[in-house]
Amino acid sequence: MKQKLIKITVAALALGATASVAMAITPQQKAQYLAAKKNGLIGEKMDGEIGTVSAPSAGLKSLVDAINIERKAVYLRLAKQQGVRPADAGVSAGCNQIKKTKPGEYYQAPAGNWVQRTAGAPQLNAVCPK
Amino acid sequence: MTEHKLTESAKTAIRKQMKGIVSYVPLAVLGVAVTGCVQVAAPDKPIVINLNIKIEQEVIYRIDGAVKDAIEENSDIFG
Repeated sequence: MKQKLIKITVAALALGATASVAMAITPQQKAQYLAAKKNGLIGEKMDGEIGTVSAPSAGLKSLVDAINIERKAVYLRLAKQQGVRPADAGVSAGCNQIKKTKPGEYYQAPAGNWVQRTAGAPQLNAVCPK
Repeated sequence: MTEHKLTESAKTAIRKQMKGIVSYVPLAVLGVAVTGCVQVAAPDKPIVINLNIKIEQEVIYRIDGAVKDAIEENSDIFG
């Protein structure tokens, strides 16, 4: 009986952990994030995080922080799996995310400044795969 | 005999004093060594090791596939 109870508790905990990962960003937050990106309020940084292009509202700031915390968790997992540093996983993600930006969206150039993506190729960090 | 004893006690006194001085010598050396360290450990310009960049580039290439998969799996935060 006692063992069964323990098993149930463990299963519940595992379920809770999975749920907390999946529910990290609410649908509203995701919509807010996509809108902010499209409107040039936020951009993709070289380190794999997002940043605010101009002074953000308190709401946008907390949204950016929430997304970056989740991204860092992904980089930490990747680093463990691949035997690299979390920062390496972040830089790799930064390369991919910057390549994926659409014209009009912002990204961080190698010099560190925000650049608006044009129809041409973005300016990539020297370590990014070509 | 009395003279001899006096000489002995004088010697002992001198030895004691010497011991006192000797025990300060390592401290003095240490003091010099510490000062030397501080002076040496202050380069004007940062040392740039370019090798680090190459290692990172290889790592970025190697993990690119796994990172792309992770981005797809977490599309809600990599919109």
